[in-house]
Amino acid sequence: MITLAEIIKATNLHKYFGKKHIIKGIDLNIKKGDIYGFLGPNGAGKTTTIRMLLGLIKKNQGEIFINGYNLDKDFKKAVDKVGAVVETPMFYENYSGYDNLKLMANLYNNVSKNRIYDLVEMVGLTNRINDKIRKYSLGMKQRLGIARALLNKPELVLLDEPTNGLDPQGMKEIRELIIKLANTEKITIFISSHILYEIELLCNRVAIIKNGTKLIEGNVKDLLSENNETVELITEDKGIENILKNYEYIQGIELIKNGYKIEITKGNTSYLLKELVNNNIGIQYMIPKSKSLEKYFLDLTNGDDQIA
Amino acid sequence: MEMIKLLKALKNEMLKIFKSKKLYIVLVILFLYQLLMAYGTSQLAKEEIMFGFISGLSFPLFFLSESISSLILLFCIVLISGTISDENNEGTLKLSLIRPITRNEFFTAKIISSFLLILFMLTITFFTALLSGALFLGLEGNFYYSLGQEISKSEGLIKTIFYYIFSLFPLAGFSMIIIFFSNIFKKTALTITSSIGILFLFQIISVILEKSKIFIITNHFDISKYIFQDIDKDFYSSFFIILGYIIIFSTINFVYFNKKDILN
Repeated sequence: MITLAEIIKATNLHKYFGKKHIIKGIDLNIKKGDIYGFLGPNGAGKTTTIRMLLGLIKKNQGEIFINGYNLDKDFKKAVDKVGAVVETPMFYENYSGYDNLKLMANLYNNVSKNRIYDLVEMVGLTNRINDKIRKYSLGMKQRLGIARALLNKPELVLLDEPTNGLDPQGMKEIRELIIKLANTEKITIFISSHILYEIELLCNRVAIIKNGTKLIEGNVKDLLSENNETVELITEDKGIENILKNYEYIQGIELIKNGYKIEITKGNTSYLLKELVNNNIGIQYMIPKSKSLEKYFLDLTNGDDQIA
Repeated sequence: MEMIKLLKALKNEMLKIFKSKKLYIVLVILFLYQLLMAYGTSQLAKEEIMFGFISGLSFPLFFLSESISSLILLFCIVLISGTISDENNEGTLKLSLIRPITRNEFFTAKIISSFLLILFMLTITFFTALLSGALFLGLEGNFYYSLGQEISKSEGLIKTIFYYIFSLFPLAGFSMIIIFFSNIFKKTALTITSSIGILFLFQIISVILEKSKIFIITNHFDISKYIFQDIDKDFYSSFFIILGYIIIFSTINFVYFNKKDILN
C-alpha cells in the first residue's frame, strides 16, 4: 500500500545482467521531505537502482511507484515532477549551457525562459551560460546539471554522486545548494555519495546496500544512537582491563596509543569514572566518542570501505 | 502516443541535426562532386563521346539516378548512423528518456527526423545539381530523361522534383537498417562499418543467389524511375519489398529500444 507521504515506494526490485543477479529484492521507502542518503560499497548496485527508479534500466521483477504513480504503467505522470543528475552530468558539448537547458525544457509543457534564467542565477552561472559546454569546468557542469534537474519544478530530485570529482570548495557549494533546495523549495532529495560524512551532514534518512541487497534503512539519528557509547581514556597507567573486566556495563576495552578505548552501556560514564578514581588510575583525559556514519557503515559492511 | 510530445521531441531532434557539422560537410562534398560530374559530362558532350542528351535541367535527374545507390546511400549511412549510438556513447540519450516522454514517442521522433534529414539532403542536392548543371551544361536544349526520350522542360523539372521526393522511400527503407545498427551498437564507427558491410553482403547474395535478388532492398533503389515511365508489376514488387523492410525493421527497432537498458 502506498501512502501519500511516500514519494518513492519500490518493492522487491530485481535486476539481472545476463546470468548475473545484480539487484536482489531491494525495497525502498522515501518520504516526502526526506534528504535520503543511498550508500553502499563499490559495485553494490546503487547506480543500477537509481537508473531503475528513473526507468533507464528495465527491472526484471518488482514494482516502483513515484508520487503514487506506477513507473511502468504511468511513466509520464510518475516522472513529471522528478529531476535527476545521474553520475557525471553529460551535455551536448557543441551547445551552450543555455541551449542545453532549453533543449530539455522543450520536453516539458510549461518551462518558461524566466524559469531557465532563474535557475541559472541560482546555480551561479549567469555570466557563463552562453559559453559552449566544452569550456565548462566539472564544477560548473555539476551546477548546470542540477539546474537542468530543476527545470520542471520537481518535487523529487535524484542525485547520483553529485560531488564526484569536485574540489573541496566545489563540494561545499553543491552541498549548500542541496540543503537550500531541500529547505526553500521543499524538494525531496535522494542522494548517493561516496563521501560518508557528507551524507551524515546532509541526510535525515539513509539506506545501505551491499551486493544488491539492502542491509538497513532508517533515520540517521536512530542508526547512530545505539545502546552503547565509547570513551577514550588517556592515561599512562597500564592493566586497566583487569580492573574493569568484571563490570557488567563494560562492553569492550581496546588498547590505543595513549591509553584505552572503552565501550560501555549508555549512561554509565559516571560509574566508570568513579571506578577509575577509586582504583587510583591517573586520568589525564576522558573523551566521549560519538559514532560516525562512517564507523556504522564499516561495521555493517564488515570493513568494506570501498564506497562509490 | 501523444502528438504534442512527439512534436516536441521531433523539434529537439531537428535542432540536434542542424547543429551537427557532419551535415554541412556532407552537403559541401556532394556539391563538389556534382560540380566535378557536371564538368566531366560537359567535356564528354563537347567531344560528342556520350551524354549528349544531358542538359543542365536534366542533370539533377542524371545525378540522382547515378548516385542513389552509391554516394547518396553512403552519406545517408554517415548522417544517420549516430542517431542512437552517438547519444548512447556520449551519455546524452538518458537526458531525454528521464523526461515525461515515452520511449515510443522519442524513438518515433528519431525515425521521422532521420527521414526528414534524408529529404533535406535530397532537396539541397536537387538545387545544387541544378546549379552545377546550369554552370557547366547550360539550360538550353530539350529535357531528355533517357536517350531519345524527350518531354517539355517544365514537365521534366516537375517530374524530377517528384523523382527526388520519391527517392526518399527506398532510402528510408535502408535507413531503418542503419538505425537498427545504431540501436544495438554503442560506437558509431561500428554502425557505419556494419551498414557498409550489409551493402556488400547484399551485393554478394544478389550475385550468388540469383533467386533471392528480388528480396534485397538495394536492388529496388531505382523505384523512382516509375515517375518517368508506366507502372508495371515490377513497381509493385519493389514497392512492397521496400515497405516490408520498413515494417520489419521498425518493429524490431521499437521492440529493442523499449527493452534497452541505458547504461551510459
